[in-house]
Amino acid sequence: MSEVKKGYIYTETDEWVKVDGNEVLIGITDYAQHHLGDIVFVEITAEGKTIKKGDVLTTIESVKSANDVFSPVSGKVLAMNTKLEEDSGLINKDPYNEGWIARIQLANPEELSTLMQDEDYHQYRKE
Amino acid sequence: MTVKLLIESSKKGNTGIHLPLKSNFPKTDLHQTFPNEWVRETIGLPNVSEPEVVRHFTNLASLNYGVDSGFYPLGSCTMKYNPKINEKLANLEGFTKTHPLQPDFTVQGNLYLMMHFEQLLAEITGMDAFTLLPAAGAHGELTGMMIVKAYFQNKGEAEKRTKILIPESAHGTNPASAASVGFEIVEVKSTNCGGVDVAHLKEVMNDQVAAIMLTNPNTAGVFETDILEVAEIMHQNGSLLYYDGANLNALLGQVRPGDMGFDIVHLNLHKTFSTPHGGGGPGSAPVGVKEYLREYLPVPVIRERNHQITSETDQFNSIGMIRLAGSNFQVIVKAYLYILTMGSDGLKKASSIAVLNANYIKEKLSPFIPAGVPCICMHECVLSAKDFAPYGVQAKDISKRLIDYGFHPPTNYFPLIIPEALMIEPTETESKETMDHFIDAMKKIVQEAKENPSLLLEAPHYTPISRPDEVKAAKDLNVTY
Amino acid sequence: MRYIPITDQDIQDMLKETNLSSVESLFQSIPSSIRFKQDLALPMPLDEMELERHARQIASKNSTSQTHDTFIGEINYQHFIPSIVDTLSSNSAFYTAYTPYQPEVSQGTLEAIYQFQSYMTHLTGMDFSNASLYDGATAAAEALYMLTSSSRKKRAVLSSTLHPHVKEVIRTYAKMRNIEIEEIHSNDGTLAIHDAEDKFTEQTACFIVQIPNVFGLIEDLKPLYDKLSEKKIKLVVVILEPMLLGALMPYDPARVDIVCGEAQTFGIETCYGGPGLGFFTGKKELIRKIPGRIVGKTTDKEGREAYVMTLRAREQDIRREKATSNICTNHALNALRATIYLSTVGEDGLKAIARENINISHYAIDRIEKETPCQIPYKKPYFNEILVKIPTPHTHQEMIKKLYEKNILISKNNMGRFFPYLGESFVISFSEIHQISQIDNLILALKEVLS
Repeated sequence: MSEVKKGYIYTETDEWVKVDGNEVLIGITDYAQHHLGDIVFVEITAEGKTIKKGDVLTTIESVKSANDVFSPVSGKVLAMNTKLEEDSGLINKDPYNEGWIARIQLANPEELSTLMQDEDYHQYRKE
Repeated sequence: MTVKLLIESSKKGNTGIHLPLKSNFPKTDLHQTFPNEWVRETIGLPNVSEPEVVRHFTNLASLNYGVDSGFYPLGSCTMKYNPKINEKLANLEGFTKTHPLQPDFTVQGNLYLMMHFEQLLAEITGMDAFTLLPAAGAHGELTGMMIVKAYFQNKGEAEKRTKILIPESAHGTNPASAASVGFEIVEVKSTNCGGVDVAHLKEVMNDQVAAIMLTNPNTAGVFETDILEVAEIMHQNGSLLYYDGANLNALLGQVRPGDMGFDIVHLNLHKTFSTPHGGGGPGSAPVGVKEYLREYLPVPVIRERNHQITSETDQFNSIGMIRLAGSNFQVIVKAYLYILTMGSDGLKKASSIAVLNANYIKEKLSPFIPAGVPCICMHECVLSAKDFAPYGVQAKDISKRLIDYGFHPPTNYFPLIIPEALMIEPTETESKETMDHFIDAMKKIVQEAKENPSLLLEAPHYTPISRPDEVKAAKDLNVTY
Repeated sequence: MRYIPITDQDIQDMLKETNLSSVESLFQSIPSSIRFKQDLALPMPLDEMELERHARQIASKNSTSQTHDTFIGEINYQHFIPSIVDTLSSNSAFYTAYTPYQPEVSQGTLEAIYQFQSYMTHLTGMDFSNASLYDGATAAAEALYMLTSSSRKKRAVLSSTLHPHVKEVIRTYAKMRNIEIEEIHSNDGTLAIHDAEDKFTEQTACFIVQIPNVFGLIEDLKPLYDKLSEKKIKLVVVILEPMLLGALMPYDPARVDIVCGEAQTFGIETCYGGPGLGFFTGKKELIRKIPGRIVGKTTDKEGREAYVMTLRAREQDIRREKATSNICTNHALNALRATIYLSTVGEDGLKAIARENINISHYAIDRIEKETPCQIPYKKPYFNEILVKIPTPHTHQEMIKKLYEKNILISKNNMGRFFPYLGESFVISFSEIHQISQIDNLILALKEVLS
């Protein structure tokens, strides 16, 4: 059973969002990292870009798949987690903390209301 | 355990050829002829003797498994026997020592062979014109998609016709090829037999659709029974049908893509027409079209006038050149000779037996590993190992255990629409006894999976290496010495 | 039947054991209106003896480098091939295998490809090589696709001195994606550097240049490096005759992003143009964007060295329409031949053969210039071939015919057709297979034909 972090909000495509004022931290869920298996590469080139909700934020590669991570919100990408360059396995080890992917400055805070609360996501991915 | 790299055996003073070279020519002083910084003293290649090279590659070969080693039921790859006479004759110096830029009148043999081969392929497929240029299946698809684009460009509809329909059961190459030349992909749902969901096809159909790419039999090994309706829907919409010839071995002489309504086809000579796979290439993938698309074929094209056969580049509306001059000619020679050996009866027999063999394996094995689709299969059958999950066993574990029994594994995890797929394509060149041995091995493995799954999970046991670490390979990239 | 080991009795047994009524019943899902019931109109089948006779008869209608002195290069090159290349590559454990998806039974193919990648990387001075591509022109076109899509720029600049086949293939590919192509003119047979100034823009994804170029001349890229890096333009060097690299490294590997092209020259017959051997090498920051397969070294579950295909997530069977390229195959068997060839001739042998190519070509071309009416319009550094201008009023067609009568074959490409300002001209190519007597004959023939 994969972990769902309390207090975070979620997308149907298995990204999580941690809200911190006008900024959000984004990553992929425990369910998603489990599904992907050992992650071997994360592209971290989006820093400084302005991105729309639903745009591809990055691509995560495991041995046998490559999956797009879609931005759950619109805004400016303030930072990408450069530690992933060295050790993409951080996403497997600690998807909700050390394995964060991007920090984004919200352009449109209302978008957050369209995302799932932790309980709903838990139900959504209950197997 | 692998074989030591040749660079590790390299010793200054060793060489596999006569050195110094015997030469009657005056030496050119490199430092006087070229800028000093261009002149190169080291490269990084090994210096080894001829016997060392021979042993090295002979040892490497012993680590390989080919069709000549044993049963190779790799689904969708048609690993049939590669006739030796074709290898020998394709290596005649009259073929190999010709240069692609020789004047046409000096290569009339090659040009005759190619022209005749085009005619034979047209007859076998029911198409009107062929190009022999594409180097591989994916290159054939790319060429086909370029023809689709050029056709609509010429009709003034290129701006509008931006979409290619592809069934969700299709091989990944299809969407990759269409996207390569700038088309947008629209996925069409599949039926439970892997076929086109006609209702969904009608839903997604509109005036932006340029073509549909289909494999028939589809990737689940099942004939597309609604093909005539699909063709009608497409053509009424002004769209084209593209035939991916990956599975033509099921249909040789039984039904022709041209008669099913396809406008463009590509064939894989390395599958259907018995040329060897070479460890992953070279193949060859001629593309055939109906008459009204002939003008778009890539150049050069082969023509005959006044008893001279020529290779010409002046074709208005052609998509242009798609490779350096020539084709994968040596592969073409082998496929041509195969067709001449088989004749009409031989090709019909090949497809009949290929289909019989696949159904034989499916019927014998499905009580033990259920079939992935509830339909009559053609030249390949898909089984689903999903019921083995309680034992912790996946399709790939069954495959790895098959290696211990002396067989090459079937294709795993394809098509994607069937969970834990094991796709088995025996081809017509296997005896009943070989298939019976395979069936017995599969039954034993099923038993092992239930009683002692670790036998499967740790397989293969008798190979020089087992279950290499792919994560490490991708993370700590080491792609050169 | 010869290739089908199923007897009539087997068929009966198989049907019975599986409760199938007939073989025909297995085809019942095909609509009967399109079932092909008649015979295919193919020739009557030939037995092995007839087939051999037929093939030999066709082959005998060709002229070859065995029957004629052949001086053709441009895209494919004739070099001596040590006999062990044929012997070893015709081991059916190599050629009857498929793509090494199951590493446990494919270490032979995988380790051979790993060595191929290593050899190509060392030859070109790049960081990595893929497992090979179709041919030299498609390799260049794949570089164009890769660099335009990864940079999201829609513009590329070509050197006008690319071989016309390479140029036309690039243009075919480019127009499919609406990639805008510009060319830099040439001056005296090589790049006119000043013409690059306004053609290199911020929107240019890459510049593609060929060494040696279509006229056989070795371009000097030094004046371009800064201009390219200023505008963040990737530099692609196409090489169709990498034998050159055995003697010369005419570019600075640190300033080049991709070196790709055709490696048929290493142990592969010209065979009327195919199959050839595309190669693709480059800088490590590009490796996740490349087309085609790549083999990596790793360890297995017991820590033993092992080889596998890696970076598979780029490929079409996994990424579908988002793949970096639609290419599935590599020309593995020809990559194997090149690997055997390069192993056999080795470091010292390749250097010697490359130098011998320079000796022969420079000797022969000197004599053509001094002793025949032919002109060598561009005298700049070259490797083993060069453009020859035919003196008026003679024509290239006439030369082909008359030289053929003297047992000599030259290229069918009249370069004046691609570069009208050149007039009647062709590229003549030499290699270590030529003997001094053949050069004597060539000189004599040129004199007589043009007298």
